[in-house]
Amino acid sequence: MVPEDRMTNKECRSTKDAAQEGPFGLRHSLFDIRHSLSALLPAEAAAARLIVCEPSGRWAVALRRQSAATAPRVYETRSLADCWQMLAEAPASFVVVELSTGNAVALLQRMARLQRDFPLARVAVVADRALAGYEWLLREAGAVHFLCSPRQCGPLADLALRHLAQAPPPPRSLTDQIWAGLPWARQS
Amino acid sequence: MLNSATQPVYVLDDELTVVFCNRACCDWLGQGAEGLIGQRCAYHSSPDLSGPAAVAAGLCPPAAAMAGTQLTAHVSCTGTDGQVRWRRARFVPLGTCPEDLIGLVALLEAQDLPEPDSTGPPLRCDEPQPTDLHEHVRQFRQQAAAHYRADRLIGNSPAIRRVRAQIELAVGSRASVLLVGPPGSGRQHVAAAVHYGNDPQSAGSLIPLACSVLGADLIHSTVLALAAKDPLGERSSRSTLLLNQADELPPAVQAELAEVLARRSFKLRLIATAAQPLEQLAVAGTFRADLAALLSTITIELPPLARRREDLPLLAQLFLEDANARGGRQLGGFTPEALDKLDAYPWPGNLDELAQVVTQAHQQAEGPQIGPRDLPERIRLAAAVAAYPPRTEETIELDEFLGRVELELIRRALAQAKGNKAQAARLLGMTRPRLYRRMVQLGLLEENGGS
Repeated sequence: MVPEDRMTNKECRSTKDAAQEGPFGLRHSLFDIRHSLSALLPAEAAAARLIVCEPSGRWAVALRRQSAATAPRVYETRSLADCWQMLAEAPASFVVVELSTGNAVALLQRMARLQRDFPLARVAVVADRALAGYEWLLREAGAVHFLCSPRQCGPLADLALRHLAQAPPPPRSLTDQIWAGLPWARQS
Repeated sequence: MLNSATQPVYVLDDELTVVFCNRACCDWLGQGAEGLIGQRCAYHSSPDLSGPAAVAAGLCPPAAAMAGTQLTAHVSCTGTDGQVRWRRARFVPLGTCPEDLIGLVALLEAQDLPEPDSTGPPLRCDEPQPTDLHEHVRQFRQQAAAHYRADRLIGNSPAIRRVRAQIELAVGSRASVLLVGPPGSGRQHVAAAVHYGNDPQSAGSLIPLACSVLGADLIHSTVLALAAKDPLGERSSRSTLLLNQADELPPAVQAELAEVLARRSFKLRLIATAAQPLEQLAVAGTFRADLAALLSTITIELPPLARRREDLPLLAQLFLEDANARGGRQLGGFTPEALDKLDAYPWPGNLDELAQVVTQAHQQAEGPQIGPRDLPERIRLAAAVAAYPPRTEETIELDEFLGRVELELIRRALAQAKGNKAQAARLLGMTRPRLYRRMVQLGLLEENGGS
């Protein structure tokens, strides 16, 4: 979520509208537009992550190089099962999956359920150039971007960072928000 | 020479378009070369196509064949008797590396295979065969079409009845559609329902574009690729480009997009989603008027869930049935108390939030129905406050509300202090006698066994 002082006018308007229409008719900032997105996360959800699923680590290296200025932590996984497990822990994450000839069908099957299971997640697919023929198939399945060269990782890193900036914070109840504001709450 | 060969041979260019097919191959396929040449056999083609396009789909090589190495895979064709026949094909690249590949020559064996799987694994056993992929794509589209049916937009509220009528209107045309509504109100569902329409079998691809996170460059290059390279081939005229959150399109790309999308050669249907009508934004000067007009031929307004509360029990039941269908315990419905609590909540996350709440409650429920205790705290708290309705829309029962917050804070302080009231009082910045009094007033002492 973009901090309010960095929001565009439109985002500010949306936030204020949401606050005015907030629960209990309260005009305060606790129920801003972030609440509407946080409400889609399970209570135990972790904050959004940048998850990379690939066998070798070369795409993670390229992403780290391209996003060095902001340095988000890149969570690496080596299988689709591990990747989706991590996505279940942090359901608003941005996932970069390397397509291979061996995982094409499994990836297609998982992506078919992505919108229903993880509506706040986004998946980008990276692949060897030989697999460029799969691009539009995976875009149809919901891939937000398809890339065939680690050298062109710059726009992908920007895309991931924009997603993470817009992702809702982990959900907290009203009581949790008050509790978190207390000086001694962090000792617990 | 190739034409007189007894072995079936065909040649594809680097765009997977058939450029040559010898007589033996035409005989096997039962299709004349003139109909086949020019057909593309890309991975997004579908086995439920008909005519030469369907024949070309069966000849699709594995994607790895474009990597510059020889490999073997199966190709198929459907005979006049409707039976699918298989042959092993060796794909020979014309070029030494992917960069200078100009095409592929496919050399088919002279005999049909009895069954594709009975001859042992293909040369690269981890390679998904194109026919498998076609089947998975077909299943993917079928599942999407079934899930996003217009009749799953249930409800009897006037707002949703109007939405259903507008969808029917949109399905009957190829005009652009703008879906206006808050996040979680079902914009994706309606977009898919319009795309798949009354005949999901013949629908093309639905290509989503996330305008809020893709930068201007990626949006421009993706749309340009669709416009210039026509990667969907013959499916383009039945396909849809879905511009998600079009109101957040970067200004830098709006002019170029308006120009590309307005071209007669751009065959895809346009569906866009937005939080506010684009033409209103155009009047306010924050969106290009020509692009707003291009995307808004039919505008469908999706109501927030809070404005269609009469539909809430039906929708909750629908999501519960979805959860039941995924497995686990089979629950019959909701208790009246649980429905009251759902009704009192403002639902800022709309349908998506309701689906998530019902799924969570389904996992936690112990009884035959979902009760109030199975619902998340925020739903229970909202219901508790709503039980004391404000005198006007701008007021609340603050004492009651703060009492509940205080109760929860005291409970947590006691838990942190492991039940030690003196320490809990210190945490809360009050004296022990005052904490004790508040516990009595809030009924917390009985809860703690009076100790």
